Amino acid sequence: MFKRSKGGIVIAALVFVWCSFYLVIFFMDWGKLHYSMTKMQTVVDMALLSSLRIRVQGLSKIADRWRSFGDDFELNPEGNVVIREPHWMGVLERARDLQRALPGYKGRIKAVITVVVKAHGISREELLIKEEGAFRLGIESNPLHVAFPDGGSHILTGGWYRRLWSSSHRLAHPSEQPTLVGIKQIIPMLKVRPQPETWDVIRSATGRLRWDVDLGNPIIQQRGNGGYPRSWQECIDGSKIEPFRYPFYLGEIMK
Amino acid sequence: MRNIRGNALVEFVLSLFLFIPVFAFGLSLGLFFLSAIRAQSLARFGTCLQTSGFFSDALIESEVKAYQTRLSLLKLGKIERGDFRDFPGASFYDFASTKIRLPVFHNSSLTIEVVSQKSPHD
Repeated sequence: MFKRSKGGIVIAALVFVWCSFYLVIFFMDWGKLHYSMTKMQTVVDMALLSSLRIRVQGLSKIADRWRSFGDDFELNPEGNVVIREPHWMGVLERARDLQRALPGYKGRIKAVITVVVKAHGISREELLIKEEGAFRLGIESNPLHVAFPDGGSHILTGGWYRRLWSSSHRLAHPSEQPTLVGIKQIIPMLKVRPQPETWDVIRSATGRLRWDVDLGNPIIQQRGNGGYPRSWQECIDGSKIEPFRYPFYLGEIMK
Repeated sequence: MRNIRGNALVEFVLSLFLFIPVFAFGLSLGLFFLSAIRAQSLARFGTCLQTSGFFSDALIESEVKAYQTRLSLLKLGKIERGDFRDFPGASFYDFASTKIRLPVFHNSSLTIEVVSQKSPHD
């Protein structure tokens, strides 16, 4: 009896140490997993937010650059576009530069995701892009027939830009479909346990772009066009050419 | 009989000395991961404020400090906020980051950094 009680303490102590050891291992794995999940969620949110912000920047910048030459356009009584600018070549050059820069604006929207993800120490292979709704810049350039005051005319490529989203709604937000980005990582577990040795973790984020105006404002309701026009008719405001009306956007992460 | 009882008690007390490091290790590890998770959320908070373009530096600083105070378990090193340029490809963008060094052992630390593109409103 005495021998049994003596051995019982030792065996119980061994079992307790054994259990404690596995508890610590579990604790380490659990902590590592939760830290990884928190980090992945942060990275995927920041990557998507960066992409939306690049698109906002692109849309605003294109509108600004167009104004640098488009403000010199005028409508004559016949409804033709006439150039007020005495230096025709300058207008041509700025319009051409903007059109050439368009693929760059488009490419940066998606490329920034990879840079942000890599900056957080996550490889590109772990990145999952499920829906590309907001990766598209959503605009296209169009030629414009321009008349000179002395009677000549020219087709100006990249003369105006129209939006490709929501053709049926004038006061529309840019993203018809949200963007869904995810990160998939295989988290290695400590190898003292039989199974599993890895956990597959996926964290994702959904985001969209909104037209950042007060839709209840009567001026916006009357003049607004989602920031960009759908057609040439929407560019004309009385006797002025004003295609970009309040091109202000806001990227938001949806939960 | 008394002798044997005494041996069992001594074994139990001795075995406690084995458990203490195991428990201490487990506890410190749990606290470390908790701190790392909280540091991650603090860095995210700092980066979001910084890149929104709506807040002054002084306000961001005070908000980050207030948030840090609420995370009472956090023992942090220096919090660094600023532009993020020293990375391949980063110079094409306008990134900002918040970096937190979390002490691990005597001379080593875990660096937690959250990077994002600045809002055009900035």
